[in-house]
Amino acid sequence: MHRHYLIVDDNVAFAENLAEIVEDEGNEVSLAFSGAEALKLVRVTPFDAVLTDMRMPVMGGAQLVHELRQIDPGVPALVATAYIGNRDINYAVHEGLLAVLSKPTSITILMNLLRAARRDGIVVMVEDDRGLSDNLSEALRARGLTAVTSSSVRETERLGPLQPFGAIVDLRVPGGTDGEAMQQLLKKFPGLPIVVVTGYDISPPSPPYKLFRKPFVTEEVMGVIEGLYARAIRAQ
Amino acid sequence: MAETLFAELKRYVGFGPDDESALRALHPLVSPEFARIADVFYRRILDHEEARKALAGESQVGRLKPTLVIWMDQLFTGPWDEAYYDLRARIGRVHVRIALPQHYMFGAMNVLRQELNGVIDRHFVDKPVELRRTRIALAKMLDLELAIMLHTYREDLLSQQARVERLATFGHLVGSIGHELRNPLSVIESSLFILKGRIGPDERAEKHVNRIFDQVGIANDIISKLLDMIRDRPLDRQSIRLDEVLNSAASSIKWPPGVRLTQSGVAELPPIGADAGQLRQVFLNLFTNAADASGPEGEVLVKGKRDGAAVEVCVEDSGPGVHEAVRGRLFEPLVTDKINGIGLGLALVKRIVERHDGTIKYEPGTVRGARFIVRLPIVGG
Repeated sequence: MHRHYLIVDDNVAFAENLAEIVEDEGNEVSLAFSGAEALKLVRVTPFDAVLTDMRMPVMGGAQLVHELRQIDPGVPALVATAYIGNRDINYAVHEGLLAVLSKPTSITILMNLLRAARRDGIVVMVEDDRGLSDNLSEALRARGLTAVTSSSVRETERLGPLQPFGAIVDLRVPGGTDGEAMQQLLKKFPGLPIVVVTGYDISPPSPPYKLFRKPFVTEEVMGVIEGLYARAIRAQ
Repeated sequence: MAETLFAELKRYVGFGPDDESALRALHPLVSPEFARIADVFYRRILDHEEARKALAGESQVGRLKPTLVIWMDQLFTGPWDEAYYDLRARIGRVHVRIALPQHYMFGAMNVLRQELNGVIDRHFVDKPVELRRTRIALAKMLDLELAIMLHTYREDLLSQQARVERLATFGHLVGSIGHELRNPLSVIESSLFILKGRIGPDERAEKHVNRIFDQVGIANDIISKLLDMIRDRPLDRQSIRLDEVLNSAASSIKWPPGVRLTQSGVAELPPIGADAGQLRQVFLNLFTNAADASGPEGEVLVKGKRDGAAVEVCVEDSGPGVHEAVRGRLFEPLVTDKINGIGLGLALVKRIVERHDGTIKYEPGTVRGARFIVRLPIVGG
């Protein structure tokens, strides 16, 4: 299937190299060497994925992702950065990043991510167990879906402007009563189908789309998420 | 030859042969009282809460008393030459190292002055000329002592400060250079990726492309280590078992076939609250050094023990030990005695251990080589 990506980097040589590699696979690439150029392109083309550098003059990667979300909320966004400790990345992560890659980037990993990336694939995940949260994010990423994670009620309140198609929610997370994070989420995204995962015998404050008791089989949860995604795409 | 600082100071206060003979004459009269004066001196410190804290408590005092007796002995016998100055300068340095506030030097010197003057007054009560002469000589010498202490204290403090600043600048520089180097490296790597698919069946071309790939990998690795060192990753403290951390680190080392690794007391260590990932890095570095040093034939001992509210892990190897020239600065970045080392391993080790409120020290080992002792508090185990 022919796909079209946008690569944004002020390092022209690096951007052109990536373009060559992607084009060798028979796909199309648009290049932008600044945030402003990128936004111009995004306005006219619904890309299959956008890969951006973090540190660029005038408009950095985080700012670009923010602006990008206003224009095309459904485009999968990836960041490649030489500065992993960069605090701005957190802002971008909360607005939905399929992956954060460190530079120098493994070309194979990057190509796999671009190939898998799916539009309108944002899933909100509320889970305070970091190990579990990482594993589920990883499983979603492998399917080209973007996880936006939160580990507490407070963080859930603060989730950025997003258009998720579903959520995976643990009923008991720090900062509030059981089920409070789920209620917060429903207030923010009315009608959002929620997959509940819980280790306790708690009943959810509203009917969930599906409930899993821990321990669960990740593949089963992914199956339900796939079903939700298919439903959301059909509804479009 | 230019006048030395000590000579200049002596000239300033007019310390001369007359004073020297007065001090020598006093020696047989005061020396029987040295032990008593040392008692008074340290009792005053222990009675004084703030000074006691600065000196790190009672256990120190037992060891320091004999040193003070020797100090007084030298004070009255001289010779008051350059060697004397060097000896005294060392005391100022010790004060910097233990971060003793300078004002206690004056307080403590005043106690000595009172006690020594008391002895002079008693002996020369009927000889006012002798009394005056001796008191003046003593006063000159004690003030010279203070001057030397202050001078070396300041000198050391300044060089310590310069070292800290140098490290800060170093960190900053490394950070920006490291990051900037990653950009050209990513270009090289992606270009190689393209090149690799296009060179066709040419063995030598392929060998060299692979070689460039490997070297780019090494360059990346160095940058990552440097950045790790300056980044100060926040600690993810959890209750962890040190034996698991040690085993995990030991199993990822390529031990030379002739090197035997022996562990003792490690499994008995209580759990501690620490960042397992970062501590793994600590022991990975220590083991790597030990493996390098003790190969091709030798042994590495890892010993664990509990010591009150802390645990100690000692890593010892049968290698040649750390070269004397670098021992003092072993934990500073870019200091190494390895042929291919860049001197970042131990600096990183020290940073991680200190972030855990622990300590690390080096001592020559019991089986010849190097011995590193890591001490970590058992908080929140």
